[in-house]
Amino acid sequence: MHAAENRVILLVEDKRDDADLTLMALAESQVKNPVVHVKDGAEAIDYIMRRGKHAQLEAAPITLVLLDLNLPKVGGLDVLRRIRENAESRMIPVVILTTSKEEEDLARGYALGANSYIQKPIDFTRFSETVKQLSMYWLVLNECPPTPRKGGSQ
Amino acid sequence: MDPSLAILQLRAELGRALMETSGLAPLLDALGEALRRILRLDVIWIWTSDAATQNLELQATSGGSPAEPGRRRLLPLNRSRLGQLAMKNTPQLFAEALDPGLGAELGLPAPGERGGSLLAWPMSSADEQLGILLAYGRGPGHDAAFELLGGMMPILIQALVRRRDEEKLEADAKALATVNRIVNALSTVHELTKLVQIVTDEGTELCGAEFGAFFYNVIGKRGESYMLYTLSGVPIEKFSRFPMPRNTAIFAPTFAGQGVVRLDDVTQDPRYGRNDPYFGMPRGHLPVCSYLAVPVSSRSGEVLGGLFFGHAQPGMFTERHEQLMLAVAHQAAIGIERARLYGELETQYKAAAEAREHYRALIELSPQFVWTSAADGTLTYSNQRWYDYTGLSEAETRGPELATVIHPDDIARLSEVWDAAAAHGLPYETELRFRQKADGSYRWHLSRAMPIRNAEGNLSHWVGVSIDIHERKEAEAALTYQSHLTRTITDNAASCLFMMDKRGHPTFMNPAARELIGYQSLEEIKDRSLHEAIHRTKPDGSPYPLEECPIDNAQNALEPIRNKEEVFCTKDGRLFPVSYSLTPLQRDGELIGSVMEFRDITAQKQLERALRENEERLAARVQERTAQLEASNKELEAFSYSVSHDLRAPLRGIDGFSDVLLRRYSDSLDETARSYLIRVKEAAGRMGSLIEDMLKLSRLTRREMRRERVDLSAMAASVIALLQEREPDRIVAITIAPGLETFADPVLMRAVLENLLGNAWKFTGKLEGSAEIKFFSQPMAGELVFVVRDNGAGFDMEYQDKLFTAFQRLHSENEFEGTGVGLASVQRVIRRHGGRVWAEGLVDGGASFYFTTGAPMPERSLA
Repeated sequence: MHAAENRVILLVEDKRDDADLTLMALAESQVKNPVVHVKDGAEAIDYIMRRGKHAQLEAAPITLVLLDLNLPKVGGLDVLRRIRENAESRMIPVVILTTSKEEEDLARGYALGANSYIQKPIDFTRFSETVKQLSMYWLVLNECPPTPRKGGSQ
Repeated sequence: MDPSLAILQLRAELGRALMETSGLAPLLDALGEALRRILRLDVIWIWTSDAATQNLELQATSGGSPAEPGRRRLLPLNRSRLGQLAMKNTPQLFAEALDPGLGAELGLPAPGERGGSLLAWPMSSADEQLGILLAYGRGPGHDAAFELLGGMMPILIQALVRRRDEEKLEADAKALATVNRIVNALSTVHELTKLVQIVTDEGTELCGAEFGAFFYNVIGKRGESYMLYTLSGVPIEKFSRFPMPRNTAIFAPTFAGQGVVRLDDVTQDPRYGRNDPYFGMPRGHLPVCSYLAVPVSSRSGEVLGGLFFGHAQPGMFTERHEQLMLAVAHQAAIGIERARLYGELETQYKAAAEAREHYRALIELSPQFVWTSAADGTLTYSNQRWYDYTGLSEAETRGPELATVIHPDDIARLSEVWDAAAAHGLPYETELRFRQKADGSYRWHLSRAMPIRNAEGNLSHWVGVSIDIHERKEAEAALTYQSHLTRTITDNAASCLFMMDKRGHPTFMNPAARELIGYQSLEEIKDRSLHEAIHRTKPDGSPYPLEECPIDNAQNALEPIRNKEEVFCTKDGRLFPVSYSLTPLQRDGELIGSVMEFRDITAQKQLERALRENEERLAARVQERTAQLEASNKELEAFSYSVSHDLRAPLRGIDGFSDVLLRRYSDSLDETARSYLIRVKEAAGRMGSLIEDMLKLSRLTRREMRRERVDLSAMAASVIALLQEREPDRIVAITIAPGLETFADPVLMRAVLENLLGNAWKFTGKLEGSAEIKFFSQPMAGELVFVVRDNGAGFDMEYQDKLFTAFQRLHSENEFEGTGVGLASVQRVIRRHGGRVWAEGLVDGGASFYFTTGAPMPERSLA
């Protein structure tokens, strides 16, 4: 078993500025967990499924996925669907962190099993406040689902 | 006893009896009594014999037990002991041994008890057997009396003969009188029932019957024969419950007219009692014993009926009665025939009189004029109708005044017709007008007259009638006018008109139809169906069978057709489109034909085609434009979407890194640099708001609209409450009219109110005096207009056209913040609802925003 603070936060974000700002906000919010940043949907899936260049990785389990929607290669909603379809990953909390507030995106995100949907504020003060609240909730207050044993049957 | 004295005594008694009695029996009674007294005997019987009936009848009993009253005692002459004694014509004395048979016949005591003697003395005169006298004395010693009796017998016989002759004479006289009465009755009485009653009554009396009946046939009004009867000597009720005599063996000879039936005792006759159901007389029938039946036949041999007589006693009817009754029957036949003839005559006379009266009444009552005139035309009779109608008197009708009631224009024609008819004695007929007295108007009449010739063939007189035909003439005139009118209409109609009979053959064609179809006259096509003439070819040129023809089928189904289209062809085969209507005609529910109206719609068709092509082109263009619009809308949406993502991300970078600089590198920056960074952040924030508003605007446009009842008053209150919450320190006088409602999309309407009320709130924010915001509605040109009015900064009307344009602002951002998208959004929403929005304002004088929602005005707002 990994200690709670060793568990990985997976940030799926293609835009460098947003990624950096998110990482900065996470740092400011005193988050101890390691953050893994992937830049497109395909890599996100590879990481979660432990395949491709992440196949040999002996990584800690994922405690939270911060998912942008507007991603190259594979869109954020598709990533979310793959996470929910896969038995090993389907219980991982996924927070959609995106610019869009389109009703359609909201509806589809929740339909596919997103745990939260948060619009990234333009104002950085509010943005970092948001990230702080978010990590406080998901990493401290919230009890994570039990980690499925790797390759184990249920 | 001195015989001379006894004879004298007898003569005296005889003389007195002859004086004092009438009829045979009373005389013999008196004589028997005298003999018994004079000769001191115990019983004297006197029997008389009747040659006709060959009977002995007891006429007188003196001293013995008297005969039952009304009951005759008869003994047959040749079959009784007493009869035998009488026929022997020799007196016989029975002294010791009384003849037992005789004793029984006389009712004398049995041999053991007797002790007297009986003398039987037959009475005769000149070979005629008259009867027998019996004298009885009890005990012995009557020889002297018997001897004396012998001496008295001639006196007795003489008296008997004398009285009998007297009786006969009297009966003859009576019979003669009766017959005479009958003959008299027959000649004076014509009523059959009365006549037969007289015959029956007199006949009954004449033959000494107890009861008589006359059954006779009568012929009813319809020629049927039935039987009636009269009775005599008994009330008719006694017989009313018995059926009529039938043709039984007893009755047959009478009803067949074969001859007389006379019986001493009908019940002893072999023909009696042979027939169902009574086998004789029915119960309760009169006790008929003696029976006499005489047929009553006409001279032609027809049996008119039968006279029947009866008596409870046997042997009552003699040959003489029979002869008398034959005479009566003969007279009765004559009388009946005469009565019948008389009745027939009377009936005929009555019928003729009735018929005369009947026809006279008919003629008088007739609403027509009926008249007769002499051969030369002189009027002899006019019925009442004529006088009532014309007001002329009889004399005036015969005079020159007659001409005054005939229309002046008709007089010449009437004279002409009359002269021609009179000259040849031929019937005539003419139409003329007679003036009626009531209102002086003339009415048309049809006048007819016929000459009547006598047996020699000469004209004897005229009879004539005149019928009022005014209505018919008027109707004819109206009809003529009507048909002229119809003809004028059909001749001048632009529509083509055809009429068909029920076979579909044309019976009428107006000039328009003639011209269009190309046939010169109806003659050309009337022998075939109209279908054949103008509808024989389908639009594609193939033959059009009559069975498929909708026009013919509709006619047969009695279904009218309105403005349907077909293709007809002209005489030379040219096809052309028509619009036609068909009206089947019926009389008494049966098809008699139809009227078809049609017009050439070639030009109309061409126009329609051109229009349709135009429409199609237009639709294609609209579709093209719509597609283009849809495409550009899609592009716009994609654009908005990317704006929301792609423009905001860099903004976040600008703001985020500026923030990082300000916080982490604050020490390395001077005041100016820091203020610039702050302005960078502010600019990024404004741009964020702009993008946000733009997205909102885009979303409002794309949102699916759903109308429902919206309570605008409540919605406005809720919007104001939010504004107040955001700026709790502001004091604004809010007036929201209650009950403002419309039918619109609630989400979009909320956006409208948020913008308009938000603007009002915003632009009253810098007022020195008290701020006011009003929301109300007012009807304007039949529409309900909602108004948001404030007393804020207002605007210059010169720029009002820029008010609703996106990103156009009339105030600097320093004065009032905002992106300039709000009113553009309002306008989009209102336009999507089909409403209008406009504004009035004055710089520093407040602003009013008006909008409608495209919903129908609620009825109560109209009031």
